[in-house]
Amino acid sequence: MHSDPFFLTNVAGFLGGYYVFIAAMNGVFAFLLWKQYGQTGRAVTWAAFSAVLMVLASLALSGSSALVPALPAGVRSLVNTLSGPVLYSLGTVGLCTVLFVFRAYFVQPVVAWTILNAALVLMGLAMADQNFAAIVMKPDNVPIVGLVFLLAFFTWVATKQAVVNDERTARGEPPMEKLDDEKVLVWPDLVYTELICMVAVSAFLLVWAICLPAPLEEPASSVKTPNPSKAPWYFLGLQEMLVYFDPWYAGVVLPSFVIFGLMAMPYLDYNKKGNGYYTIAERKFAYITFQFGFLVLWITLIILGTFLRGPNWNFFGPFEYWTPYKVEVLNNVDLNQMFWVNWLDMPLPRAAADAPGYMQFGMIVLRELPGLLLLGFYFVALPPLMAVTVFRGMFAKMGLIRYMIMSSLMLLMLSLPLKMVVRWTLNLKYIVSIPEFKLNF
Amino acid sequence: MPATEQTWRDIKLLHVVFAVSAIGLLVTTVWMLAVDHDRPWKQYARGFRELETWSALARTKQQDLADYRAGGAELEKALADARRSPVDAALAEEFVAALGAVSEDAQAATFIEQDIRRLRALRSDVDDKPSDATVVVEDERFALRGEILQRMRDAAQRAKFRENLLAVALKLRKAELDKNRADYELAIADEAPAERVATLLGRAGAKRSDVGDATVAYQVANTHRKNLESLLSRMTGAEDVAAKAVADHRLALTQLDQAYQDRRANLGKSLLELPVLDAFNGPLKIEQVWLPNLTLNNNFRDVARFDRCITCHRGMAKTMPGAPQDPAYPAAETIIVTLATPAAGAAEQMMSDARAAVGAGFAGDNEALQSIYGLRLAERGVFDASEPTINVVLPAPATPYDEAIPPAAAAAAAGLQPGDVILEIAGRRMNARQVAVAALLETPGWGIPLEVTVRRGVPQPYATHPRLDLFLSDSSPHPMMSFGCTICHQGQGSSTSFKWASHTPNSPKEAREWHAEYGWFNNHHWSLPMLPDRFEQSSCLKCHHQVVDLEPSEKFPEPPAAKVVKGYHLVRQYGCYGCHEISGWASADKRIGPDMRLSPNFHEVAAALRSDPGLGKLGDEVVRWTDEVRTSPDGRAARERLRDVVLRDAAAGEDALLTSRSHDLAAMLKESDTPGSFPKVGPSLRHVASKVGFDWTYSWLRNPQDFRPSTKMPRFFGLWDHLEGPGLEESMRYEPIEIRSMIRYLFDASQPFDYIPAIAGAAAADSVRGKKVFQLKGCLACHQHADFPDATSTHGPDLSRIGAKLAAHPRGREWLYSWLRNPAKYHPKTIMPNVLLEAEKRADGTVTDPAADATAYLLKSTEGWRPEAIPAAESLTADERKALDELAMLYLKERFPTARAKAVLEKGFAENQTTLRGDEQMLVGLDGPGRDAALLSYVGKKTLGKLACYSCHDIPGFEDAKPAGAALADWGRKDPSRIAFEQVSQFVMHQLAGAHDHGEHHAHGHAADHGDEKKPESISPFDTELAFLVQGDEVHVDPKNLDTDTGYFLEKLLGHEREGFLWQKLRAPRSYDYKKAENKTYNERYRMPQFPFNDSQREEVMTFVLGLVAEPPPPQFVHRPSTREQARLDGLVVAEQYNCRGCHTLQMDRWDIEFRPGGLGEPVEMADYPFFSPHFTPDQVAKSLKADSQGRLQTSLVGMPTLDPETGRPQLVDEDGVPMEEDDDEAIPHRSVMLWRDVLVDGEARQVGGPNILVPEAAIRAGSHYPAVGGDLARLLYPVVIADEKEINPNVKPEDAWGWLPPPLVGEGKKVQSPWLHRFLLNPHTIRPPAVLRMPKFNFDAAQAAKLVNYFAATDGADFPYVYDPRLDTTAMESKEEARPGHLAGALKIVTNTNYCVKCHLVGDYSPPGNPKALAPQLEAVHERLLPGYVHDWIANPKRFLPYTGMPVNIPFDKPVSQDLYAGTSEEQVSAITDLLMHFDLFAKRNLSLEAYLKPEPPAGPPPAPPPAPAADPAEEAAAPRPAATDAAAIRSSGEPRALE
Repeated sequence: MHSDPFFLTNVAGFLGGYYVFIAAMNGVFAFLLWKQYGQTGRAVTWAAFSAVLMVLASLALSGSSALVPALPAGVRSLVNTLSGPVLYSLGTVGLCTVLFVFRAYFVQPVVAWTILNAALVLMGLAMADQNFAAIVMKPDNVPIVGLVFLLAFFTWVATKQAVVNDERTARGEPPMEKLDDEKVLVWPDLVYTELICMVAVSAFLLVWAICLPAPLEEPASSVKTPNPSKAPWYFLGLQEMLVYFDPWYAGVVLPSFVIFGLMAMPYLDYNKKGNGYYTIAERKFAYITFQFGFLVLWITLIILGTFLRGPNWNFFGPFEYWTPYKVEVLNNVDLNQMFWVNWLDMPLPRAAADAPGYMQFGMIVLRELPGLLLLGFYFVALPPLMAVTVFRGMFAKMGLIRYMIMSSLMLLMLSLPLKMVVRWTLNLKYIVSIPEFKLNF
Repeated sequence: MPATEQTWRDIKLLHVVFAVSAIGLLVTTVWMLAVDHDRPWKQYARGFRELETWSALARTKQQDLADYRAGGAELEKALADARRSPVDAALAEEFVAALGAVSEDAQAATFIEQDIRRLRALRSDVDDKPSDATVVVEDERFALRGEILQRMRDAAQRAKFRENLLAVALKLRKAELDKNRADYELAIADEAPAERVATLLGRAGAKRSDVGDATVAYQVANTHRKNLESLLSRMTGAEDVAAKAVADHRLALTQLDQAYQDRRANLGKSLLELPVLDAFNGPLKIEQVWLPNLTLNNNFRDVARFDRCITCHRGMAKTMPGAPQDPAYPAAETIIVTLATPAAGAAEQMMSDARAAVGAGFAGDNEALQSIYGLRLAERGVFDASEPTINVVLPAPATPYDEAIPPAAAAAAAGLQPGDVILEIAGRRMNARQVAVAALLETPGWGIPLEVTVRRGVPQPYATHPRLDLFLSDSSPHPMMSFGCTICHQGQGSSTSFKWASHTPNSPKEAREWHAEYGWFNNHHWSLPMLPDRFEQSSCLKCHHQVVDLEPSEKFPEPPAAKVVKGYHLVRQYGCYGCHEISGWASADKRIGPDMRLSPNFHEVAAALRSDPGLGKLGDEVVRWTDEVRTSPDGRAARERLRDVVLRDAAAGEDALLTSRSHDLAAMLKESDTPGSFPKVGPSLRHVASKVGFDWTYSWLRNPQDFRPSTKMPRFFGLWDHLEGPGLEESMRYEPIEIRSMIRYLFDASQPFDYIPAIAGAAAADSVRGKKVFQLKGCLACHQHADFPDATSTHGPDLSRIGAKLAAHPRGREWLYSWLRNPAKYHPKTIMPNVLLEAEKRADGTVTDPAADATAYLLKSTEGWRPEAIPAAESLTADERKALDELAMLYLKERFPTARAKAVLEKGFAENQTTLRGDEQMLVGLDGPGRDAALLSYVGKKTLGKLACYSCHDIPGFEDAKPAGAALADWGRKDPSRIAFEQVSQFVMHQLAGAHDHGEHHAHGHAADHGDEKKPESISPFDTELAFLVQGDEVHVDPKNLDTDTGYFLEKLLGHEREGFLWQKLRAPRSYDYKKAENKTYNERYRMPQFPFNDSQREEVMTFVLGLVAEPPPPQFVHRPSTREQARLDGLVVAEQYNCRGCHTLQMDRWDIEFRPGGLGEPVEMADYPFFSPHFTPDQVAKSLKADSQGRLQTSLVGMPTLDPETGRPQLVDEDGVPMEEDDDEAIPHRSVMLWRDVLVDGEARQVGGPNILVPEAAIRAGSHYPAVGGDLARLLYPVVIADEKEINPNVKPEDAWGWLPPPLVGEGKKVQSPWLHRFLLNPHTIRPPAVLRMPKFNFDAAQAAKLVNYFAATDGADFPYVYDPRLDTTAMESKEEARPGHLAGALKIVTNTNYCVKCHLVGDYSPPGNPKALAPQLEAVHERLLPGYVHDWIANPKRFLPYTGMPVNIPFDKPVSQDLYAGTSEEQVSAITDLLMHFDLFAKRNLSLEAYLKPEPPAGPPPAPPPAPAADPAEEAAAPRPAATDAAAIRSSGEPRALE
């Protein structure tokens, strides 16, 4: 897994600047620690880290392609192996769980700062890999990289506020937001700052457009689509769903329910707490459900679609070359096949070609009976079951209608990860497959 | 919360932040504007402006030279003289009189009169005293004369002024009249009171008379003024003319200066270039060509092309002033010239003179340079100010050879041109102007020529297109405004920056440089990147579907697209189209590219049917039809009948007589709408067992190059470089079995062949005689042989070892004999002609059989070669049998499930199992003793099918097989993602690395066999690291060991681009199995064989294949030749297919030479018939006299070089025409050229038939030479036949030898009648008795022969396909005969006079005695062979048509032959003979009486068969068989008494 020396010499300049930037960032951080907070010991540690980064920068700028710091080949191939779709999806769920459970630890500034630094340095090292750089540095992928960091930052800010507030609530103090009333003057505090932001953002956008012009790709062709054909980045989560569901479901039904569900949220919410301030402890269910839907089912799928889906919509590790010749076995079977053929060892029920219409329909229903039963159980039987078990309290507070809407929406949302899991584990294609009516689920 | 003054944020800080961000926005906005304004193309637009300004200034300077000034001064003087010449007194008096007649001018008249009087007085003074006072008086007179003329002009002016006043007054009066008339009319209409009407009428009348008066006054003034002016112009006429001459003279310079002023940058332009302002018609603009019809396919719709290439390439179509096809700015190249220097004394004198005249410093230096060398340096260089750049070169006068060139023309004579940058002088680098001046003026060794290295031309992107004769210029076939750039070059035409235009580098080094300089990158997103240099010509195929239209022609002698044409010929010769269909048709009426499909193989089908045992039962007629289709497959009738019969038989079901295979084949006999026309390139293998034996065939199949290194047959076996481990082992085990099985099948399926028996009674075959036969009978036109190293044609195979091939077969000798006698008997479609080797009677009376002799000779040709390491034909070892079983199993498993396949392999099928179709039918009775044979045959047939041997060969059982390879018609656009690159890049990297350090990769030692893996042709630094990444592998190639070509293709291969794939596919087609062989079954492996191409051939083939894009532009752009041109091209294809050029010259040598006046000697006065006088327009004469800047004249000679009669190589002679010795250093080498076309030299005509022209070698080297097309055999045999003849006749004239050899066919179209030529091509007969070889009989079909006939007519501008000439008409002849009785009889007297025609020519049954080498063609046949115009002119002077002919001028134009024979002028006699020859048959018939035949018998039946013509001796018969001796001819020869002797 060599990187082309020519590529390395090209990327070295950028990497040098990048390391210098991180070093400067940490230098300022160390200085602030020392001067502002008087934490000399920590300041020294961060200054030393900054020095290490300067060493990396000088290596990158040494002019020799061999000296550009890079991740060892073993690490890269390990990452490639680990980033299969199953591990990736389950891993992100697990990571979110860990972050959630130990949020009090992770929101500490030093920890967050360390994680940020680790991410930046890792990215720099990874950038010395041609395949990684080719994807990450694609001009239209650069904003997505920025977006990842921004998202992490905002999540951190909100979580930190919530953690602080929760601690205060536990101590019986009001949340931070209640401490000072944030009412300010429209002029200058609001409009003036908005004007400044507008000017600054305009300038930033201009610089960006000059330095990183929008990429120009091939003329559109109906006979030859680009491989891979990707949706705009914000729709990549939806595109990922297409892998697991029929287009009518993944492309029409689920997105509609996403919007519907978001609209329904205020009416479903019975929890009066958490108005006007950040909190997690007081709205655990709402928080977890939303973060799972947003971070796991939306953001990570966008990242997956952007960086890990390559030609033929195959999965590629971050350091893997996007060869169009990679082939994967996609022998997925429908549930009816599993049930009738594999388990009962008999042909699929099928009406004779000249049988009357009701007979045809009946046979289809018979054929799909296992799937229909399963679906029926999932969408019809599960809500009442949950109402009397895990969500008993909630059912009591919400009433029947609100509860049923909530539970249906939640089950719909969960159908995505569930389907993904059965696809990976059982190679299940569709639970209900009625190609006669173009109806698959 | 109540409002307070307290703000949330620090307002001061906000202000600061706002200020900073606002400044930031301003800065970025300015930055954006700057980036947007600073477009890369502007730099080139400015650069080109610099270049144009510089050139305009240089031209101004060049124009403003001493001789120009001298010319100007002369004209000025003439003007001054004219001004001093006396005025015509009479005119002056007339003027005064006219002036005096008008009152207003009377005073002026008086003044003028006084002046005239004073002038007269002065004149009389001067006449009296011619002393020194003259000058003073002269001046006074001159002043006075001027004053008088000025007064006259003033008077004329005043007259004009008055006339204008009167004209205005007249106009006013007229307007008033119009108003009054209108008032009157209106009053009438309003029915006004009568008195008012009357008043108005009165007013109008008054006005009318006013107008009359004013008109008269105006006319008088007008006449007066005109009179004055006319008188004045008559008085100053000479002066006006002289003034105009001066103005004209200045005009050229003024225009140049104007051009300079227009181009240079100035303040106004600079202002308009500023940002924002440049929107208002700024001087720097994007230039573009809009091509609404040459659309670009943008997938969803076709859009018009906008080619903006000329935005940067601004000089692309610029031409030299006055030369519409000479590039104004050729691309930069380095040239070394030799600059003469004057002797020391003269040089110093000139230098001091110059400095004295102009002063020291740069001006003085330049003046000195001008007088010493005739050049001046510019003050600054074009692109680099410090570069010493020549801007003026004094034109050299046309100096004859024997005169010295004056120093002031030294630069011109050396070939220096304005714009040349001096790089080195005498090996020293010149980096500044001062250095160059010093080197030229101070340090040269005076008298010794200086070697000066200059850079001529300009760098890209300013350079002009190198082929303005073909492209861009308005007179070229591809004018820029209609074709643009990208239709040929591809790339992104709408782009205005280097990288987005998709330029394509030609080498990795270039890629690297471009990347560094322009940020170039390989834009995969643009599917039509520019073609790199090496594949530029691919585009030609888009429109030039016939490809041969890209060959050099009369109009474009410089090859227009040599590479792609070569590629086409390689594809044709190697038969690529056999496996890879190259169809030129998208549908029956849509042509998309070159069409190279195989012709229908009717003859193969017929041969297969012929071998069907049931055919005979269908009747003899059917057998005859089958034979007819086999031998002449082009005829339709027999084929369609045969097809019907077979189809009917098939319908009979159970009762069918033919096999099912025959029924299947019947479909193949169907006619196609657009049949292909290309033959299979390999020989027929239908009767192969009658020809070769097992051993040779084994060796041949194993590696054809072993037996014949130059073979075109590709190699199928032993291509193991890419294999290792089990894959290699599999190949090593299976391949020998496959070879054996193929032989088995070929021999089993081979059909019997009837050998042609030898001529009875001939002398025993003799290989010495045979060698002569081989040499002289035309074999060398196509074949090579080690005994004749000069014969290099590769049209046919090399026969050096042919004996080793055939001798092993028991009947090989018989086969070869049969083949030589009639190749078509063995292979009906062979391109080998029947060379008509018939029995020859020798001087000693013995009869020899030349074919037997040649057979004997050829069988002795072995070069000691013998097949080696050949297994025994008959027995198989246990291992071999196992391998055979495995192979058979592989094929059986494709047909049957494994268990069944095993059973079949074990037992085979029962004899009567007829339900089975396909090859498995052959597996009958495998449990018997014939098991090996049957299995071998089965595997053999499968293998032949797998390897697609039938694509090139006619093999029984494969008559209906389909092409095996990928179709190529649009391969040039094939989506690279649909090409399987497999692991080939790893293989190549390994291989290249291995080649470098002789690694273990070649351990199994097969690499040496490949012609390809030789050392790179030119080792140059391969300056890139771009390519050297092999995924997951440690192999790195040291770039230094790769040449740029390999580097280029390697990059393309690694980048998965078409070019790379094709390159490796042609180098080592099987290498795509590298590391894959283990991953597939043996039969799934790649099958393409390896062709013996060298590097350049491979690239030529690629150029052709990459050009197959199936994207023809709209029909108006596709090359559609005129009918004449089309005929020429169609003929060329046939001529190439049958190698007509091997023997015949189709186009003579052409030399475009540059010579000094008088360098080609003096013309010789030729007295001749007036109709031979050359026609040259005055323009052509003037052009031939116009010297170029180097003082040389140009001309273009077309003809034959004189060859050395001993070596056959072009002869060098000295200035007197005497052949030069090898070591002669004194004489100036010349070449002697026999003209074939009239030409102007020094403004005088040199004519065909005159003495040879001696051309100095230097003149040839300065120009260009286009070698003759064809005629190689004639040149090869030229010394041979001379040597042969010398043994009999030591005084042989070398020129005569041309008459014994295949004639040049230049002018053939104007010479022969088309119908005759058509017949002759299909069935040739002897024309010239002394010729050493005969025109062979080719397997043309009638259409091909017609194409050739039309070719000749079209090439020579003759009428075709039909020709009419009144002289061919009987009536014309009759009326002539009537007007002049005895017209033809008299002509016959001349013809039959032994002093004239019959001295050499055969006439009827008369053969002149004497040397048979002097015999001339039969005159009896002229009337159907030749065109009357040609015959007429030929008789008048044969040398005008065939400069080497031995035929004399029998009837000189000023000396008619004896009036006793035919009374009349020479012209009349020539006409009479022409009439006679053109009506010879009629004339003969008229003198024939049938009565003698008709009387004895009643007129019931047809006339009795006349006795056959009394046969002359067999030798003459052989030499001159008549064209199809008809009954009429026979009657004539016996009916008419001949009294020749």
